[in-house]
Amino acid sequence: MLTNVYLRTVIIVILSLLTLGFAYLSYSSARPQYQRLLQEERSLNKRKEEGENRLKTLEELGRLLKEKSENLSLVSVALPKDNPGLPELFVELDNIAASNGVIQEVKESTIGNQVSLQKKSSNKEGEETTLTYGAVPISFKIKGSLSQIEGFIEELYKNLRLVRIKSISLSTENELQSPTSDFYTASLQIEAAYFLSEEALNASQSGASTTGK
Amino acid sequence: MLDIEEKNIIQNKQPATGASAGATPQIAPAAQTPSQPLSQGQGLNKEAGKVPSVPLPPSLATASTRVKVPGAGNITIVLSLVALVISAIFYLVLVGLAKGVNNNIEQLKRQIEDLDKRTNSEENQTLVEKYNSLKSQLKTYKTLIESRIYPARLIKIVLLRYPKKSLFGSIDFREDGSVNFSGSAFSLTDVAKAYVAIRDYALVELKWRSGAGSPDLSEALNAFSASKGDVIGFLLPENRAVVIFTQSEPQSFQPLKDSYIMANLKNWEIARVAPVFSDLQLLSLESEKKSEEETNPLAGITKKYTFSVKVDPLLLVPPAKSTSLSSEAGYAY
Repeated sequence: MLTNVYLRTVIIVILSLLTLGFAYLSYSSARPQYQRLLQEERSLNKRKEEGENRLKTLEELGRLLKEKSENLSLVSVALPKDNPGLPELFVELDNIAASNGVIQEVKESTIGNQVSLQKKSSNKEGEETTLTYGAVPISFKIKGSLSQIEGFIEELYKNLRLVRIKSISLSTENELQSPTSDFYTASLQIEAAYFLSEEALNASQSGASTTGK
Repeated sequence: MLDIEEKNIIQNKQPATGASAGATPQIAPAAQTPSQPLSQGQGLNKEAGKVPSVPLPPSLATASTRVKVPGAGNITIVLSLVALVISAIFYLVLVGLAKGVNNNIEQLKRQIEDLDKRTNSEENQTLVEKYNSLKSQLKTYKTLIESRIYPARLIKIVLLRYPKKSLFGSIDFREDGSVNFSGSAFSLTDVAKAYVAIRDYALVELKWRSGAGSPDLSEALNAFSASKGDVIGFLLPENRAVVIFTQSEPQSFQPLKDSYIMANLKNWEIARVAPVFSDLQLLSLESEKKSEEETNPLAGITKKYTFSVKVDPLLLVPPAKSTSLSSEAGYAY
């Protein structure tokens, strides 16, 4: 009897092992494909999530651009796109001169050629990037007391329209003859900056290369 | 010769072959009495000679070498089937799962395609272009704004420092911080005075101690004004301030040794002492006849001179954002 039980146990164990073996074989044969499918599903889910986020961001962006359109239009006033916006700048200069009581000698204003300049700037990570922008040099003279001239320069600095003051030359015409006179002439050289879009930049570069040939 | 194993088998077989007991009358009586077990082999050995040698019938003779497990064949088949069924179920479950995942993948692909279409719509493309353009426009604006210098303060300093225009006829300031002072004088003494006026001018950079509230410029101005008569000052970003005053040999000025200044500078730390104008150079000095009609030849000759200097960069830093630009005038003594 003992032998019978022993044999039965052995057979059951062997069959159990065979069952497990079969199960393992079927699992191992189907597993790689299943894993691949799962991986693909995961990556697709990720892509879907990214796509949804992108769409959400775009919707938010559209809403923001619509809401802040008034403020954003100021960006174009501050740094005009692809053109120096000189007429507007001259109106601004006139207004600033009038508010500070200086006399602006418009006749002596000279406008230089438009140039595209490059400026290196570093971002938060410390990487240096090169910015390209357009600039028009403008020279003009103003006359007034030192405080008026100072007010004019300060106003020019505070003004929304971006100008860089390149040089100031202060002088009195008859300093030895009239030392008490508080009337100065300031020759200013400023640079009216404007934004160069990629298209404009490419166009100007291709134009320059054609001219160069 | 019957061995012990054969005897045992015979004993075991007897009940099963009871019906045929009569057919085997030749079996020895000793073998028919189970009440006398053959134990320890001794009896066997002793009786070995007495047991007659009886030939076994063929059916019994073969029974000694065959092992038969009752029902073992059926169990094997059942278990094999169970194994197969389990394996099949397992496989089918996996295939079902894979199919489910596959369907899900197809659905996801369709959804992604739809999302891509919506994302890449013409309207959104325009939006992205507008955003990118605005972003780089703002970046350019910010960079240019931050790199600008603030020249208005320099005019103020010149205004306060050189109220007598006789010293300087013209001041040429450039973006890089270089300044040329030019003027005319009747004598070299006046030229020397102009030189000293540029040279003996010092600035002290101060840093407000943290945790002491908002920076108080008047405290700094009061501390210096007792010993320096013409102190002007202004606040700078990052809780800094600058005070400027006349000081001979500004490089060697040591405010830390001035007990009055240190006693009154409670919340300010002295960060730096430097001349306002450095790299002072006499660029040109030439005599010029002022007027041909002048009867006194000496009176008509003037000295035209030009000094070149570098302004300390701190003077060109834009003011602190909280301070309005015009309010700086209020701090000038």
